[in-house]
Amino acid sequence: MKDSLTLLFRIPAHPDSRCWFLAWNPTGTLLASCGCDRSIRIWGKEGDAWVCKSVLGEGHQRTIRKIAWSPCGNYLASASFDATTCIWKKNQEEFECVTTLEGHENEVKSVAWAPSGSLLATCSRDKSVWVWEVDEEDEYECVSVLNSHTQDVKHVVWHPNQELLASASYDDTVKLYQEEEDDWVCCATLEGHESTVWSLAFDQSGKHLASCSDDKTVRIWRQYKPGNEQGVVCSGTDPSWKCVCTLSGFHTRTVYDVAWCHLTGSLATACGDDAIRVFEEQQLSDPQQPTFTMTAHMPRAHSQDVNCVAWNPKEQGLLVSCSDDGEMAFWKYQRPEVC
Amino acid sequence: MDVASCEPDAFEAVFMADERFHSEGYKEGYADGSHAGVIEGRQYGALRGANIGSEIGCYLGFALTWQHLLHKCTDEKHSKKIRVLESLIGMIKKFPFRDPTYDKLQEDLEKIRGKFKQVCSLLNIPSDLRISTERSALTF
Amino acid sequence: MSWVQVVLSQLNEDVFDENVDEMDLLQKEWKNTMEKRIKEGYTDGAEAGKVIALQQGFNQGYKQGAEMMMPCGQLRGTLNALLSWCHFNEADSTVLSKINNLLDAVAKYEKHLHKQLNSLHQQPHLGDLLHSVEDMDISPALPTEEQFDESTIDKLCENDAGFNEKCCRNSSEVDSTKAEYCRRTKKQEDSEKPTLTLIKEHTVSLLEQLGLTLDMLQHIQELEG
Repeated sequence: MKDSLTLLFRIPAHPDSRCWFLAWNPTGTLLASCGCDRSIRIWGKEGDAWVCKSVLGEGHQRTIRKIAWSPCGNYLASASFDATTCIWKKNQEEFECVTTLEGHENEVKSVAWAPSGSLLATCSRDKSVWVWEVDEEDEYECVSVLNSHTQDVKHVVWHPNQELLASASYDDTVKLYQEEEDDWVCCATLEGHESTVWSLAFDQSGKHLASCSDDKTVRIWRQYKPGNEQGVVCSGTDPSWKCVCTLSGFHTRTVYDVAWCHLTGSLATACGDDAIRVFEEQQLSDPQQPTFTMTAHMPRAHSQDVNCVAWNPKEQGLLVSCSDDGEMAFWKYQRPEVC
Repeated sequence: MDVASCEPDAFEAVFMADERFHSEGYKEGYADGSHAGVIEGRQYGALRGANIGSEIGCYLGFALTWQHLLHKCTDEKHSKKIRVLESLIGMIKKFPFRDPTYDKLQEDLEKIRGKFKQVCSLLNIPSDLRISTERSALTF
Repeated sequence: MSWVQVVLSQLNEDVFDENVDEMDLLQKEWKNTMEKRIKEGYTDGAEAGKVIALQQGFNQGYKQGAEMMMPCGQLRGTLNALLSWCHFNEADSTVLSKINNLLDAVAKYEKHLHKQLNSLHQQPHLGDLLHSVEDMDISPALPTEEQFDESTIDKLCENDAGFNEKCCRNSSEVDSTKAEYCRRTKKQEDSEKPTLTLIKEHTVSLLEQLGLTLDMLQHIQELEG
């Protein structure tokens, strides 16, 4: 099993600091990293090696917690503990901060672009989730402030092909939002985790959502449309989400991140026990009660907490991870023949 | 008079007296407790109510004033701001903030706070001039 | 005379007759036991009464507090809106400081109202109430516990509905300290009442100074102090 994950490179991406998050651009040619050193680094491949192409240093006063590429790949958004979100415009190899979004009362924890590219979501320790609209002139306008969570909101992610937004919180829940009659509303609350939900990932179809938590588990939620054959109750026309699988007993500490490969369906996790794990859904398993097998486990993938894992969107099996130790690592994942 | 029928059983008498004294105390206690409870409850209630009244009033005053100020301008760009201001005013006017038994009090309050933040964002109110929405956390 | 009445009639008598030594001892014990029972009943009753009354009191106070503070908040919001508007229109600093002064005045007034709300709802300490059990007079005609329904509280609430009225009306029956704070609050209220009106007037004159039309003032004029 160990052979299924092999280290390709290890790079001190944010030396003497913490590397918080990694994001691939849509074409998988550039990787952005961010950290406690208040900088964003853009990495590109030169020959066989990944090298730093640019450093975006002058945008934030405090830690940069998360970054997100726009679907067109020309913009990068960064969420910072300085309560702001910066929008960077790519100009050849250079990036310029074109807008600073203000409004959150304190630390911005996450940022995510909707698949259309015209909506952006941010979330904060101030318990709110903001939805912003972008027009052709790069003007950002707040279209909604959602105060549905009762605690710090850790992560936001958009559905891959619908305008459906998901958020994860310190209040142990996941919430889903959609637009209704000119305003955004919380349309579902996913309850089940016993502690902070740190991150979320949709699968390629958007029918499944994976959530990872401080309770050391990963939960898989499945969407059920009204009138479904399985008889899962839905209210009105809204689909309902039900937990169909809980991955427990694998992680020994907080699971900080989960990434669902949209090419292969492999599920990778980043854990506070310094390890990276990969899971595959068992073939022929009941879709209403799927079972997942751990196909790769890399203990001591990093020397400290692993904060993030990200699959390359174009190259199958290329996984990156980053850690509190300031490093990022590139991994080659080989899916076992039988799983 | 027949002694046996007139004098209740001694145990029963003791028991009844016991009940009576307890009942007597209970009555007095209940009256005093009710009085103290109303006063104490009212004190908590008044402070909570004061917080929410002040907060909601503030949003309303802010929104109404900006609505007037923007109506003066004919700029097309303001139409969206006016629409969101109207939405906030509508939410506040529908909100039964005086009624603590309203089951969606906290939920609606959070929605109003969110709308108010959106208004401030659209109006470009600098953060140092923004009114904090954190002043009253309602916990029952 | 019933047996219980005999006991009752003897309860408060201190008889030290050495001839009826044993009887006396029994009676004393009986008296103690019954006093204990009254006390227990009192505590049970006080708790039960309080639990039910708390929510009702809360609801009343809540409504009063909310209505009392709403106009203040509205004035504060109005001034805040003006402050940001003047900020955008680069109004001169005297106007800005004038608005800030008015905002300070509103804040002070709000604080004062808060204090007032707090002192009006001071409660007698439960400990004091417990002492009163000592001087309780023991009447044999007693309603049962079930007879204490919410109407008792409703009546209580009803009687207490008016803030100052209540304190002052009841003050003769209560202790003198309470009466004093009633007078004090009353006096304070009289002297503070015009504050909101005063701030309103200043705000209106400020609006005129800024050349803002009268329809703008409507919602301020409508504020009730």
